[in-house]
Amino acid sequence: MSESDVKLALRIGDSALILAQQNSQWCGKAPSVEEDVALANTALDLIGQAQLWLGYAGEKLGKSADELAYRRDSNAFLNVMLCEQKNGDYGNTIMRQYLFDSWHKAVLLSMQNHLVLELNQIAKKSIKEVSYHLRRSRDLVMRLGQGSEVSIAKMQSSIDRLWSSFGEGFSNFSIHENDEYGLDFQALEASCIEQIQQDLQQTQIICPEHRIWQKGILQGMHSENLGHILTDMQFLQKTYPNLKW
Amino acid sequence: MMSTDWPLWEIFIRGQHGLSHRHVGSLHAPDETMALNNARDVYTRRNEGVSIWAVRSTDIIASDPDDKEELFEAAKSKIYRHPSFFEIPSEVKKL
Repeated sequence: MSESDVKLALRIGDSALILAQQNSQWCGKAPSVEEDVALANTALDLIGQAQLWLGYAGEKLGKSADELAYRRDSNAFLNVMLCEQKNGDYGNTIMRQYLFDSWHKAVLLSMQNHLVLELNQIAKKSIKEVSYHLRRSRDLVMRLGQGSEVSIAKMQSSIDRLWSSFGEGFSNFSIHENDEYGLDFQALEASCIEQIQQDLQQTQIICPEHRIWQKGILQGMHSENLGHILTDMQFLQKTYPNLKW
Repeated sequence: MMSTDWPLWEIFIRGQHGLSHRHVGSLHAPDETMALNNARDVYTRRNEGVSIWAVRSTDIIASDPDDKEELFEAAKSKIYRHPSFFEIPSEVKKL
């Protein structure tokens, strides 16, 4: 069995975990009480999914999902770079969510027939929640993108800022040329971006044209922000190992 | 020209084994789509429902509590208005 299955599980699981951790920072501070609950719900869904992905990877690596979440150092995380970008203002958070949901749903769709049974089961279970996430974030992006001058300007600068790190998600990490456990990232990139372009055409937001993608995650290089995220997330378990409720 | 205020909506949820939508609360949303999405997020967190109805609060016409006696007193003391002398078969218990 190739390592691609573990890497894939970590890629998706770590992304969900880190993004959930970041979104949770909005709890109690979102623009409206309904948005607060909605974003918290999204974070909870992602944590649930992260448990499944990390559980699978952990089994193969001889660790528990908790060990993977709380004991690994930043260079071992395989989350997509988009997820560790700073929250910024609420519009930025929603744009990040929309881009992530687009990537996430496309990846899960392509895994519906994955050869590894556990992976395709987790994908099938997650896709219902993720479809709703995308529906919600897309709806908000469409609204903000057709709104006032201020909202359009903010969403435009968000997508411009997040675009390169978003593309990092299409990095190919299959071990071999015909790796049957990996995914066709080129195809994913094309279909995912086409859909985003279609969506944005109905708004005043201009989809960036370039495809200059950042790299580094798969080589263990992360942005500074991940350090801050992990400090919050791992502090308790690292200071008091094996602490339980 | 878009308005910046979010009207109030009343939310009704029908549970999986329920027969009717029950009022669960209210929320603010700018329009129908967000009213449904917000209702899904706020009121179906713990698997309570399969169907959501959202109604603008201003569209609900309610009876005046002060009229309670006028409107509802009559029904109380007339047992001949209730079909209480029939045997209801167990198959239609929910009637």
